[in-house]
Amino acid sequence: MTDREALLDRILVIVAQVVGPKRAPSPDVGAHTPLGVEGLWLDSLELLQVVVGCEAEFGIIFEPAKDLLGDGLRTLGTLADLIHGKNPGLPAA
Amino acid sequence: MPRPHLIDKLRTRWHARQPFTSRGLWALMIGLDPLPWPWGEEILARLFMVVALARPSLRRRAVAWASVQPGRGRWRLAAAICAFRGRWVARLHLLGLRSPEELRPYTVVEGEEHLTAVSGGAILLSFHVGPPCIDVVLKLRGHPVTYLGRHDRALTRAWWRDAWWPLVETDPLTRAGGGPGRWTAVLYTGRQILLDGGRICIMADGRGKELFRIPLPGGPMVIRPGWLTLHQLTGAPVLPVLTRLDGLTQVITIHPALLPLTSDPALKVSREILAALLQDYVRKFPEQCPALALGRAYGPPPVDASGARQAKTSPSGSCA
Repeated sequence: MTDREALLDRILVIVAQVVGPKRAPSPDVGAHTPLGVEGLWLDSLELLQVVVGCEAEFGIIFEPAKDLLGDGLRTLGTLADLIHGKNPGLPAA
Repeated sequence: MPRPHLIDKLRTRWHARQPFTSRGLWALMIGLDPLPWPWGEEILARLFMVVALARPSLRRRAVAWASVQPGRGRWRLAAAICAFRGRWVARLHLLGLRSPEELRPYTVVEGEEHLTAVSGGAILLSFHVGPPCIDVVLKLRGHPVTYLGRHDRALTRAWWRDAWWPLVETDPLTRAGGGPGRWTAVLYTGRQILLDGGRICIMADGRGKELFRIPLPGGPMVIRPGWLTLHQLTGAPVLPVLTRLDGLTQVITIHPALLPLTSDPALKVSREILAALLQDYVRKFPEQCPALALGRAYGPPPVDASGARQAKTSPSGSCA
């Protein structure tokens, strides 16, 4: 497993905690999977919980104007990029 | 011939229009605004009543809703509901109000002790009943609060009067207008405000994902989960807030904080408390519930992920 895959897996664990077992992410999700429509189908509240979960998990703090209004929350990969940008000590995204 | 600065002023006012206000209504309000308060508000209330009752679809909805409210003549109540809608629009835009000082004597906050008893962040849970601008009135009465909402109504509230700006100016990150993706950023901002010890005001009901329904005569009120998520993420107490017009005076009532909503039984108790508050409000002030009667707060839900979850989040492909 690469570092990037490990980071995506950690994010998916947070997603699974937020959405619960009935909507656990399927095995075929990857960096290009959208977080919202046509992907993980997270709504705004679930995304908020994922964002807050990522802050706790990775020891980072998001800036809403810079991080949450752009493409950062578009796919699993862009979220991983965002997290890596906040904490370069994490695996390269 | 109009003086150039007057034309500039009119142009500025015209361009302050938001998409949710029709051009005709906007032009009317620009014409009514110079009148002494509350003349414009009174005229708008009567015009809304006449126009709504003349439109079959609105008339049918208002009369149908009014006919199931106990103890009121349905036509009289339907007319009052439609008139209140006009008054609501006038208040939203602070029509005819030159400065906060003009409105201050017409504002009352009941139950302030419930808010002052909270030492840190607090969630003021409001509803689509009664007049608008709870946050503006609370600020006017010395209670700083940030309103989290969908539209950037600050632009239209102050129109062109600098005197109002300190009370109506908002952080763009507290408004979700401009795209569904913004709501996460707005809620995140709300969470930060609460963690910093600030107070936010958020609507409990409206379009979107459903948390539960409060049964009311004429149709249920749909409660959304945004406020609950913020409460669970921050631990900030939730204080239900209701507002009404008593003549020209806007009365805001702050109710005691709900129990911490950490379990299903606590949520059930809070649901019953909210239901009792709302049922009492609708019984006493049915004419101040145009959003319930005319359905404006609940129209077609926006496209949301919650409505069509499938394959990627569920191995079986079933909806949650």
